[in-house]
Amino acid sequence: MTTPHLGGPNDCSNPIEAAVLMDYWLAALPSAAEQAVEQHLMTCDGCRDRR
Amino acid sequence: MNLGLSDADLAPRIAAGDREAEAEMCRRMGPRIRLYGLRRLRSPSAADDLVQQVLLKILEALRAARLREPDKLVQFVLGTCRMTVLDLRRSSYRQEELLATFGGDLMPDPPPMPRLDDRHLARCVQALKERERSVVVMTFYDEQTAAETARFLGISEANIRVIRHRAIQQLRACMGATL
Repeated sequence: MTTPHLGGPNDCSNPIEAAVLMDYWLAALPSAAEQAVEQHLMTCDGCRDRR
Repeated sequence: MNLGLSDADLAPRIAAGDREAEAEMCRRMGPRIRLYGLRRLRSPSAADDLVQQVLLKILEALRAARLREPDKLVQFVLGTCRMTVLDLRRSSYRQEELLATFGGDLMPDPPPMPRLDDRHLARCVQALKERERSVVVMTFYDEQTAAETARFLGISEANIRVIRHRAIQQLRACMGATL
């Protein structure tokens, strides 16, 4: 989930699971998982566009 | 314009004064910062403000070549986002604290009520006819409704309103005579 890359939409080798993404938006993830998602979203345009 | 550069390529170019690299960094990082702001601040306008603040800080640092490891640009942006959101929250908390502490002092005092001569008012009320006095006392002292007063005195509600209106006019005239 934390693989950084410069992808476009739908171009992610290790996409964040939809349930994890939803929990992230609901602030329901543990702190470490939340930081990992943020780190991934900061580098992955593909997952960012799935929000 | 996509220059075909990786995130890590941008930092040294910005440090060298490349304005196109700056624009590319803003184009690339802006939406990422905004997304972070939306999640953390839950407000589109606050997220937009965060983008501005973070990009300014990042540009300032990159122009001054303060980022020693260019491949950590994303971590640097994320760290700056976190610090900026913390600062915003601290600032907001301080404002709330100040408002709670001093807010009362900032509220203007209500305008002073005109002071009535209580004794004179009592004399004016005493000068009313008994039925008018009853309506006034029940309305303004006992805080009874027109319907309740009407039931108690055995007259119509409409009549109560007329009596009350006349009584107030008489009281006003009586009080005004001394001003």
